Amino acid sequence: MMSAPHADKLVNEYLGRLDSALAGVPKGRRDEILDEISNHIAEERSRLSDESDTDVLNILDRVGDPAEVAGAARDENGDARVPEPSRRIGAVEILAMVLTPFIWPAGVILLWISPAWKTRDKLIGTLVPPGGYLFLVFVLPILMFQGMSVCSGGSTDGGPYTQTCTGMMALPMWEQIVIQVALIGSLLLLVVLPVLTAIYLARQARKWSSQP
Amino acid sequence: MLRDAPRYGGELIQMLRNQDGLLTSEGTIYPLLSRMRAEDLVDTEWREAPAGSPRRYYRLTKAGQRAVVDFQREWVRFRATVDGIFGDRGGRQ
Repeated sequence: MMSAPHADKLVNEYLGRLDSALAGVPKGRRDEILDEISNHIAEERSRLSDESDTDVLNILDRVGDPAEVAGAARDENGDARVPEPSRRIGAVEILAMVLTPFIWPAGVILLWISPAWKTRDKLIGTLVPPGGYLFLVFVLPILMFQGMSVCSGGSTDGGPYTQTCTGMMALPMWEQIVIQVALIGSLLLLVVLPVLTAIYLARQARKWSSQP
Repeated sequence: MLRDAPRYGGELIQMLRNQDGLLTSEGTIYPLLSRMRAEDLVDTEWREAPAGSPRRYYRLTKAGQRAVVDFQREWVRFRATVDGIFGDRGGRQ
């Protein structure tokens, strides 16, 4: 086989243009495509018994415009069905997990932006508990106010000492105990829930990133 | 085309050349094959060529075979719909 005077140069130029057109395609895929196309061109050339520059140009024309070939590669990367670049836990996911308990509004926005969680997980992250620790800040004063009691009393004219109370103290002792236990229980729950939710979100995110 | 045997890219291109107007830029087949490989629709194997460098052969995986069957079913339905629409119009003219 005779090689045409400019054949190798033409092929190398073509592959160079294809390489730059493939910018942005992940390295492994890019190498694979370049490799296959360069083999393809070599095989086409080997079929010619006496090649001329025109033959080589015709082969390159048939292979196609580098931009068009690269376009076919880029479609697949822009396509959501190919998970390679997107299914990785990134800054958005980590910030969403860390911020949701502490700076709830910011965390929740990131949570809903990220593709790592399904709607169900996002609802859990948003509402268990709503506001994260902010919820605790709002609820704590209310709980304390509920627990407050005012008692007043005294004796008049040497009569029997009487005392009247409002709030908790007005209730019988056993009810007071039940309410106290319930209050402490729900406080503990509010402290623990944001942590549990964050752990849950982390596990769901990891499951998502390990999917093919 | 991969249903009956594993084939390499150049072979697929040869086959497509015989089909009218399907493949304008032959090089685009390689990104498509690479995509199918990433989606586990095909797997690949290097084989010696009679001359020159080894060739990468593509073979349908189980998932690939299922995708072919699914596509064929969809295609038949799609064709029936289009035929139905053209048929209607033809009837009225």
